Amino acid sequence: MPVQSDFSRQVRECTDRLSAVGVGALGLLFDLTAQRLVRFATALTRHQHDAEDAVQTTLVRLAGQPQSLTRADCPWAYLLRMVRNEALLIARRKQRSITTSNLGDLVTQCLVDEAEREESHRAVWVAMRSLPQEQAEVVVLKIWEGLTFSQIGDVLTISPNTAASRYQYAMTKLTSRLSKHSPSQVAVAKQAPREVICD
Amino acid sequence: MIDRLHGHEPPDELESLLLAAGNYVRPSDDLRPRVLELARTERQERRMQRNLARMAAAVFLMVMVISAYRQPANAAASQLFSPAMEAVSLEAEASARRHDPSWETVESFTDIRRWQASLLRL
Repeated sequence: MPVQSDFSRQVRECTDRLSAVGVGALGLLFDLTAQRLVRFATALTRHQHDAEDAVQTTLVRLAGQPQSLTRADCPWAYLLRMVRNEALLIARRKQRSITTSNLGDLVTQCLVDEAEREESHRAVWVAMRSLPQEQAEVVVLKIWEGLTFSQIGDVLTISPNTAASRYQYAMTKLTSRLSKHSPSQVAVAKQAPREVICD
Repeated sequence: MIDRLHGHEPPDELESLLLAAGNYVRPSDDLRPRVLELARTERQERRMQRNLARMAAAVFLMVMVISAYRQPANAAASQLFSPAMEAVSLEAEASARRHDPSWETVESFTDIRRWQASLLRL
């Protein structure tokens, strides 16, 4: 089941280039995928430093053995799986005690005209951190990566039905935790320009 | 649920809220240089290890070749010295016999039998 989208195709191109050129092309793959990978790993480890360690380890390993990614049916799904494995390893090794309301580890960005919605973004991340890891990863893959449940099942090596049920449980929890942010914030969120960035 | 399984339905309010927060987290500024630097360092280490392995293989090959060339010369040398070596070993054996009491007994017994035989012949 290849995850075929524009993004997947871009990842495939970067992978081929990495395989042909070597470390010199790693910057391209980083620019294309780092934000998504860090986001995914942060949802798993609940700490951005650990998430970045996982992404770093994965990308450095890939630079040494790009064939593993080139041979994959869908390099993007394979990359997500690699980062997930690494993130879970790190999370297990470090066993941090994390208070879900503390987002101090996050490096954030907010568009200039989105500043007013920062509170809702933070609420979303706090709510995401309160989810069990199995549910959080499904939400990330479904909402932020736009994968189908079948594709999510492939990445997480679970059945599509399991992925769907985890998603349902997660959404139920998120609904109750984010209910106060929903109606008004969403109206603003739907017309969000995404070009200008401020830290 | 079937539609949801294939992700075709329009996102509801909560999904939009979540979607909007997707780009809120970004990688830290030093992650890119850190990754590239580490990847380069590891590439250099791999190259060095590969070169060392090649050098070790070359040295091993040289040793094999040299020892293969040396073996016939050694054989010739051993053939050249073999008569002398044989003589030396025989002499050593004889001297060992001379100083060994059991061999002396055997020799004296042989001498007596030889003397008796000469007497009988007379």
